[in-house]
Amino acid sequence: MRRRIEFDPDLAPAVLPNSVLNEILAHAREADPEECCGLITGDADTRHRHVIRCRNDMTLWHQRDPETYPRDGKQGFYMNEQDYLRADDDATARGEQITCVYHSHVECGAYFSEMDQDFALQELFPFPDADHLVVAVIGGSVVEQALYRRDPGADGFVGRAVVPGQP
Amino acid sequence: MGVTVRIPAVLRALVGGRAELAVPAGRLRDVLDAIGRESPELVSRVLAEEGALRRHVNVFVNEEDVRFRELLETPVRDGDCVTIVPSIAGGR
Repeated sequence: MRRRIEFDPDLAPAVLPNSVLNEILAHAREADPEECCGLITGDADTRHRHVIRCRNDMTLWHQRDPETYPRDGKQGFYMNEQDYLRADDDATARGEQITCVYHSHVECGAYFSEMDQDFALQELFPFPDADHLVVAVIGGSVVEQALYRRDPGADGFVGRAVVPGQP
Repeated sequence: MGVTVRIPAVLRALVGGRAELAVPAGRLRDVLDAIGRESPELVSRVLAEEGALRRHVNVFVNEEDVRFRELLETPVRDGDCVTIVPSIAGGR
């Protein structure tokens, strides 16, 4: 059984461009009290270049079928399929790829939850090489953000804090 | 006329790079059987060993999620479009 993964404060932080990180933090604050979700695209030169906001459909699914989807958007995200498929097509057309999946947690930390891992490790997960960025929003403000990356040596994901860098 | 199965770019490596497949009409179970004869790698990731749809995969018939219809018994008629989409989700 998986356990939540906390980011390691002793690891060197991941650096994301100012513009990319600011856009994601703004999305997280605007979505509050619900979780936000979206994608980052990039290429070999710049791994984190563009932010694509996606709709969080979790509340819609919850309202439609609360037994199968017991959480609403305050406790989870469900990325709109059309949004992510279009983002992938557009990225491919630009010569880029999906390099990161981001979402926020509301009123709790920027850990990588059991549910996050459950989806990220599924066989058909569409972006298996992507990073995962989690943003924590507490009291309407972003309090921390962390990046999780597959680490075969650790048999799972390793997380580190995220700081803004040059665009 | 048959059924068109749309394969999103993220899954095309499992079907030889094709964007669409053409299969005969029937129940969704029959459609997946037909896909599986050509592309078993895709179907093995859509169906669990016991034959049910895997939890993290959505199948739509004409934009309608089959979980809200008749699952594998959902009728798929000539001219219909089937789309297979993995879900991306998570939460606190």
